[in-house]
Amino acid sequence: MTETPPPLKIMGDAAASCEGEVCELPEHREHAIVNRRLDEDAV
Amino acid sequence: MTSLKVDIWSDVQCPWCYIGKRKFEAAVEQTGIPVEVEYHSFELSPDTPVDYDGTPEQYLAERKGLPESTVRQMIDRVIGIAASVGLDYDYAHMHQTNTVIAHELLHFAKAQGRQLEMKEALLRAYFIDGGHVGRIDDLVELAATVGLDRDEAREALEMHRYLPDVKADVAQAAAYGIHGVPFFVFEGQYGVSGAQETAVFANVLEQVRDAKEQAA
Repeated sequence: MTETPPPLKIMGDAAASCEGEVCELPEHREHAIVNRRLDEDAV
Repeated sequence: MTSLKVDIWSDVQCPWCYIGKRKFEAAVEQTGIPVEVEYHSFELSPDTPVDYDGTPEQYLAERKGLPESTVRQMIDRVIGIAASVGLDYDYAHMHQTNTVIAHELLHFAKAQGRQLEMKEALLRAYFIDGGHVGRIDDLVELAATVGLDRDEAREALEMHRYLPDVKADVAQAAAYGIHGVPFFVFEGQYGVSGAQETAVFANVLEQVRDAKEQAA
């Protein structure tokens, strides 16, 4: 069982990353996440 | 100066992970701050079949129902940014696949002291060279390119000796609250999400170094 680590101090700016199959730039991030959630709902 | 420990959660099929890797490496070179990097497994699409016959573009359009124009726009943006850091992404020849065995190989490579070379080889194979990073035969050949023993690599992958390590990484990511990659953890205390600009990574490295020196 994984121990709960101490919370991280978050640094840096908003930046591009991948969540699920969808990878987007920050300015498109909201759209991407909406797409992913719609997809999950459809499943 | 002692090295900063940097743990990086990443997936082999994550376009921003390779771009972020280049930007982070540029920041390390720019600042001259020594780092000890360890890569950790994160599966973005664990339900993808190993033998999916298509590109990421087709996968997103066919399997996830995203409009082709949306997918094309996403990919064009990624290709442009990849090119800006010297990476020639070739989406027409990428093989969308399941990456869990590639992650097992990364853990095998870590045990042999070759994880950094293996990570770069896997990313290059997938994004640039049109290689397959899901099949054991292809992974064994890739392992050999970084000096790993073919037979030992094949045995480790066929027996899934490092699958528990992959799952432990995934669980650790969940414990940290990591939902997307790349994700960088500095000294086990500071988290940075995404493919940040080189200047941002450099600033973080300097801040973490200063904090570590003050605490010493």
